[in-house]
Amino acid sequence: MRKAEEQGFREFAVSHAASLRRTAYLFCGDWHTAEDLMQASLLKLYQAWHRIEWRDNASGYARKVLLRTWLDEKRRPWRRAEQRDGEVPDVADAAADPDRTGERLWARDLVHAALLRVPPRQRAVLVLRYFEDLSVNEVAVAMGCTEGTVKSQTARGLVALRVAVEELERGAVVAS
Amino acid sequence: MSEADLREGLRAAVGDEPPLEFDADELIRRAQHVRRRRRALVAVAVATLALTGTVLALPGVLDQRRGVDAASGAVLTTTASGSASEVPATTPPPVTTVEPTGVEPPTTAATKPLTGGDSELFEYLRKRFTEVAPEVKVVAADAAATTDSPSRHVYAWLTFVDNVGTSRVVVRVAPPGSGMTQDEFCAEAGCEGPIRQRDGSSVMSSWRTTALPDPEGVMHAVAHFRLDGSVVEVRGFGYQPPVDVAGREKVLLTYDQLASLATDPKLGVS
Repeated sequence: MRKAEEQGFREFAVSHAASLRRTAYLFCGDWHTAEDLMQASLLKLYQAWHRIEWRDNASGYARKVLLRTWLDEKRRPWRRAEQRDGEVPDVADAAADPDRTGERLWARDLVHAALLRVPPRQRAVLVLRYFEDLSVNEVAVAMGCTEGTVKSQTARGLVALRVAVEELERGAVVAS
Repeated sequence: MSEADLREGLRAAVGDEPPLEFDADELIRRAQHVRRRRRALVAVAVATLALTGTVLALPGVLDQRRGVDAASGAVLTTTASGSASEVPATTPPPVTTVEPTGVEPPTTAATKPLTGGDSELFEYLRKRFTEVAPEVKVVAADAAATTDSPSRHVYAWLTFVDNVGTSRVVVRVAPPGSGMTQDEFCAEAGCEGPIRQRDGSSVMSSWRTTALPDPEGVMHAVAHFRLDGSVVEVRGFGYQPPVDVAGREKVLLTYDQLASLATDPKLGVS
C-alpha cells in the first residue's frame, strides 16, 4: 500500500473507530467483543483499502464489514450462547452516573436488554435504522438484501423488541 | 415503545462507553503482518501444488521418453548389417512385463503369415517398424534376411540411427517344428512370463547382456509362442557401441513396441 493510501486509512480508522465500536456494542451487547469486532473489521478494511470504487462511501463499507464480521462471529460454535428468557438480574450498576435519573438508567438498560433478545438480523436492522439513522436503502446496501426485506425485518424487529420490553417490564414488576 | 423511545434508548445504551485506546499504527502493523503471512501461505501452497504435480507427472514423462527413444531422433537410417546369432547370456536386470498397450496391432485385413520369402518378411518388418515407432523417419533402407539351414530359423534386422547413436532390432522367426521352446528361451538368462494372449498363445520376455560380435550391451528379447508351434522373437538393443550417456544401459525400444512386433500375426513364415 502506498504511503498516501496508508495515511488515508489511518485517518479513517482513527475517526471511525469509536462509532464502529458503539455499533458493534449494540450488535453484540459486550464492550470487549465490540472492540474485537471493530479491530477485525478495520483489519479487513485495510486489506481492501486499495480498491477505490467504494472510497466515496467508506463509512458504509466499514459498517457492512462490521455487520458481516459480527454475523460470521455469531455463527461460530463457540459463540453460540444459551437463549435466556428469564428475569433481568437485579445487580447494581457500578458505572452508573449519579447525575442521571433512575428512570433513565432503567430505560437504557431495558432497551439494551430487550434488544439482545431480538434475533440477530432484526437487531442489526434496528441498530442501523434507529441508532445509525440510515435510510432503508442504505440499510439494504449494508445488509446485502432488498429494501423490502429491510422493511419487513424492521417491522418484525420492532414487534420482537416490544414483546421483549413488555416481558422485561413484567419481570421487573414481579421482582419488585 | 415508540421509535423515538427506541432511538433514545439506543443512544442511552452506549452512554457508559469505556474509554477507547485505539492505536492505528499498531493496527496497521498487524494488518501488514497478516498480509505477509497470507502471501507466504499462498506461496507455500503454490509451491506444494507445483511439486506435487511434478512428482505425479514425472513417471509418465520418463516412461514416455523410454518408449520413444528409438524414434525420437529426427533422422532414422536403416542399413543392412551382418548376421545376427545367439549370444551368451548373463544375469538379466529385473523387468516388469505387461500386456502391450502402447501400440495397436496392424489393422490390415489379411492376418495370415507372409509367404513371399525372407525379403517380403524384411519389407514388412521395415514397414511395421515405422508404425510401431511412428516418430521415425526412414531415410535409407536395405533388405537383409537370412535363413539358418539346420534350424530353419529366419532372421531379419534393422539398424537405425537416432540423435544419440546407432541401435538395432532383430527378429527371429522359428517355424513350427523347429524345436524352439519356452524352456530354451528361458534357459540362458531366465525370463518373465508367460503372459497369456486372447487366442491362448503366450508371450515371454528376457533381459540379457550381450558382447561382440553381437550387438554389445544390454538386450531385451520378447518371444511370442504361437498356437501353431511357431515362435517370433524380437530383440531390442541399446546404443551400438554403448555410449557414455545417461540411460546407457537401457534398450531403446519399449516392451510394448517389442511385443507389438512379436505378436504381429503377419510377421511370420508359413
